[in-house]
Amino acid sequence: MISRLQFLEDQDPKMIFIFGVTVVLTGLIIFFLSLIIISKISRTRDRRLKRKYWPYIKEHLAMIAIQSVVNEGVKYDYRRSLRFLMQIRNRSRKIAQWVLDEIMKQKANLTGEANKTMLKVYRDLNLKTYSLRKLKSFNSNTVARGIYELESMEQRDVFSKFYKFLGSKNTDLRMAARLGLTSLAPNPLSFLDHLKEELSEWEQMSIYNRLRSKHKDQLPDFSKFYYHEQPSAVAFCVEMTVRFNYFELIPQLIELLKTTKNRSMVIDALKELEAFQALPYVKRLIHKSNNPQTIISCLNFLAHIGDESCRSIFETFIEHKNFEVRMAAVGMAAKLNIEFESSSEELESMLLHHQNELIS
Amino acid sequence: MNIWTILTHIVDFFVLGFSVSLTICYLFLSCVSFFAIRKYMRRRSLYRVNDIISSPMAPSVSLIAPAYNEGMTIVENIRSMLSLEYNNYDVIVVNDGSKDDTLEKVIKAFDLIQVPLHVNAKVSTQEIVSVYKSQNRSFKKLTIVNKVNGGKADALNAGINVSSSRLVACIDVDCVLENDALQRMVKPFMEDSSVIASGGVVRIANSCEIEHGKLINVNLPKNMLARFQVLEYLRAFLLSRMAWARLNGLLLISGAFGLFDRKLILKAGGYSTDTVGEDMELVVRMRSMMTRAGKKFRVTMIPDPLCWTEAPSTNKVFEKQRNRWARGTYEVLQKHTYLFFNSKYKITGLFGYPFWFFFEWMAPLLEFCGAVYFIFLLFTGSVSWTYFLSLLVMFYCFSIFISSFTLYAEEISFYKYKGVKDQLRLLAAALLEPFIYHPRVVWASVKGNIDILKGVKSWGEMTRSGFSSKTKVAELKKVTTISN
Repeated sequence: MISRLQFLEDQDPKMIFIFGVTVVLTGLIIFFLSLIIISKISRTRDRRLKRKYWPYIKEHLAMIAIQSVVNEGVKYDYRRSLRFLMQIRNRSRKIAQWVLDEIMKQKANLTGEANKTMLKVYRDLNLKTYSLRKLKSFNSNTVARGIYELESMEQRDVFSKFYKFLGSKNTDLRMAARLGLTSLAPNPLSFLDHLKEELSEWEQMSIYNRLRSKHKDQLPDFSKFYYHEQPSAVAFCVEMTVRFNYFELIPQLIELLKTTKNRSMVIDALKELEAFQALPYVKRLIHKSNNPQTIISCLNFLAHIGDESCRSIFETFIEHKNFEVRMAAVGMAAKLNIEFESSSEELESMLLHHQNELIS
Repeated sequence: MNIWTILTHIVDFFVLGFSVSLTICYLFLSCVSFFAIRKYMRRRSLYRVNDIISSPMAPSVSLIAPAYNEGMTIVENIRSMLSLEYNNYDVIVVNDGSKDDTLEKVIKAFDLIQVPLHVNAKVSTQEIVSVYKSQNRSFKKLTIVNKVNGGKADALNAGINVSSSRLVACIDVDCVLENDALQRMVKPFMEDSSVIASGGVVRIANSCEIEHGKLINVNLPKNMLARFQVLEYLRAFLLSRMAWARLNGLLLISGAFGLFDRKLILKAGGYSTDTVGEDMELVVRMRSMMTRAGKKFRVTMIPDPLCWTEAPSTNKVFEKQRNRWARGTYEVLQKHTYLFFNSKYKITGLFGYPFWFFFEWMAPLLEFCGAVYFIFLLFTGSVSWTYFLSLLVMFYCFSIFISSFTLYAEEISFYKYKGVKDQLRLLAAALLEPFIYHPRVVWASVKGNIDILKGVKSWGEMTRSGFSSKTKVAELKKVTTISN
């Protein structure tokens, strides 16, 4: 090899450099083209395998689901289908994952008996071990996937295994653990006790989606976290109070209003809960506050719950320097039918805006 | 050693130095982009993006689409925008003083009436003449703003003034969005409160089958120029922008589809109306503003193909577009010269801006100068053919390497061109591109820079040939039958 490269000895260093770069680039081209070919081959093989097994997996799972509802000849068909699925599952890990994915998909789309039968199939095919094995992986994504599978298949006995992942360095894994605990733990928001970081909006939405599927008895006491060190956790619990119509927590919310920094969030919640009890507090707060956002929330609250007596408040804020505050004040007047003489073109225009049904 | 030899040596080393830095930069970007795409694909399976469709906790989004003389397709485009899978969004179409029947057609199709919407013009724009809402509850999401012509940036600013949503998606009205485009774009904002803007991958829709404003079938363009652009777009989005987003140094979110925090756009002063590169200018300005304020921020990029657009398929239109892009790049760079190697602006100043300056704006000019220099050497008979051919082979290999990496990135990610034939065609395009397509890009860019010197500021008309649509074919057949 060295003797073959002897010709470079007499060459200009620039030429040697260009030659070197070209060789490296050519190597990289060959590398990526080979990767494309390998990926294509593997995809084609997968597709072929899928074409071979997929219809059977789907057919047998559908048959099991139908039989569970019809309730005739269940034992025979169930055992036969299970035996078949087991044979398929044993062929390779990839196929086992396909079976698992399909069971999860079917379970998500089915309710009642059929849904329960999918859980049974999951157990009988021993796929739980398969999901549990993922929890031991060094790859965080694999662990998160395992949690996701166990959560989807409602394996309540394993929830305690998720706690150790709450402190993981991987964001996705931490989130998967929190969501898993929300679904499976007896106290769905138990993870909030360990929460040190911000609860992202995405996570809040995902937790809410999981809480929605629970019976009201299983829902936690949200007021327990009103004074959590993480503002995002407080915001989430206040939001949940509204979403689940916890009217009995109105006194706690009013109490929170006195101490929290994010007053507008609490006032918005009180508005949604139509908390008449909070009216005097809000009337007092609106005059004290300098924060435009809090004033807007107060005006919206009064527009929703207030009465003619709010006229003086309207007159105070109609000349406010902040546009949004003025707009909210006119909105309140329009909603409460407070009559006033519009002194400016802007007020007139704002009033027309609020009175128009298509806009509001 | 005479002056001539010294000069030749200096040019040689400059060319070599430049090409080496370019190669190193792209190699580095390729690595970053590879890991970013792989991470995204792994994470993708852990989330149920569909959860957001029906969630009352989804952030509000306004889809703002400026329209100018779009009478031919506007109704279908609006229908497409109204049918996206997202719970909490509205559509604001800004008729930017169209001279055709755009407004009349929309009023008729969507049963619109004028409403007294009070607009707080936080960003100054041309006068808003009227605002329309639909009387039909099915179209309650739709708002049409009719204003005096002021250009795309001005129309977008008017739409932002009218919007009251938390996020605004600025799009081209003729783009075709994937049904789940908003769900995917909103996710980064929900995951990380420091995200200020997010961009989606734009793909070429030429030869694709589009029905009622929805993408039915993805095909590789039959037109060779459009096919080269497929490769170029893949490279730009999957390699370059993905990597820059990962490094948090992304300076450009395509004007075809980008999602922004509305309050921050307003704080930054909205789109600039004195540049043709308003999309890049806004991102650069927002980044500078956030850095100056000492706030943590991120500009992200979603590798999912979310938006499909028609690429120019004739040389004339293509040249106009690239000319505008070159002018836009120059204007933005010129407007923000304070960023150049400015460590105060961190990655934007130290890497993002210089990269755009050297490799996006200056590279085509240098290539052109190189070509002129070569011709000069040819006439003087002083060409070192071995050196020239070696350089040529190296650059060719570099180009193929970048394209092959892009094709691999597409293969492991979204795999839109499924057939082996399509893959081979793309590979053939990659092999031919440096000789057929690249010189055109360089030439258009040089012309754009000449136009800067001339003081040209216009957008230039962009004529489109339209998508291959089942509906359109059916309509055409109907017309033919009637006329027969």
